[in-house]
Amino acid sequence: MPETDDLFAEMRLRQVAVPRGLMARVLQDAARLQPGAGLRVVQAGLPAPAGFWARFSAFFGGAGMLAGMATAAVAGVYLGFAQPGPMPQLTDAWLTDPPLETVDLMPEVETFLNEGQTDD
Amino acid sequence: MPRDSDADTADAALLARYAAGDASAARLLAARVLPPVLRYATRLLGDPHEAEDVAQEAMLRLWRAAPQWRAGEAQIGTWLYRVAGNLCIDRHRAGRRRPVQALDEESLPADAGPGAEAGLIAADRMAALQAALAQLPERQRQAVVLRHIEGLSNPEIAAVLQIGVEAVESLTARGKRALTQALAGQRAELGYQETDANA
Repeated sequence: MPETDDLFAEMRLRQVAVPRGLMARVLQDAARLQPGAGLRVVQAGLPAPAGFWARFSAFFGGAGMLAGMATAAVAGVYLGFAQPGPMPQLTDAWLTDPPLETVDLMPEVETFLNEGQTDD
Repeated sequence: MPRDSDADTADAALLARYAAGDASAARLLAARVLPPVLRYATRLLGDPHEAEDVAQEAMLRLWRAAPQWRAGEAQIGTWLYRVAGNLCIDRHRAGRRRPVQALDEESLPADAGPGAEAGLIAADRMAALQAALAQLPERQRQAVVLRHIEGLSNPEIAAVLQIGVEAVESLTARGKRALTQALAGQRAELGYQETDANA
């Protein structure tokens, strides 16, 4: 029957359009099942940095830079109040005329090394 | 719609990009492979709504298989035809199909302008062919649709149905013969004149 081939050809020419709703559902499935999709959702859900301290640390280049600056400031204050004992000798070594040839910056070390030794 | 090796390679590359996390790859791949899957399911089931469900499920299984997909072992188009065909068989056996007439009744022209009669005749012919297809055994229907409507070659159909080429030839021949017999009694109703048959 030649009409059978005609019917096949006619059906072949008939387009079956993909409804937008179907394409949307297929792409939703794809997004839900895509490897790593859960990780991206968590990252996207993280709150953005905000607030005073976040803006303050960002101004100085981040929390790391801010911590470094704070450490340096504390060290400077400490050195200002707790000056090492031999510092005046060191400054005298450069400022006196003629300069001193030797300065014992750590006298306690010699005492420590000699401790326990006998004279005989 | 037969797909050449370049198309299969492109499909596999898009699926690999999807598996690697490229969000745009899914849209590009769906635009390529969803239409033939939907068309195939529509021809097998005769119901556009059921066919949509089958096409979505077939694509869902493709997304799930993406991380383990090994390019070169299976062609995506062939694999999707097979999955969709099996899903259609499941639905057919579960008795979840609606009347096949729904397909072409929905596509009838709303007005009765010039050419409306020809349109009605064409719609009747498509409905008759769809109804005759529905009477075929499952494997015959799949083979006939893939060969005569989707235009696949016999080796391609053999890969989809996972049978030999000779078995495909037998299925398509018997299926077409059964369709011809089913439609022979409707020639006058479908607008065919005796002279058409003798032409």
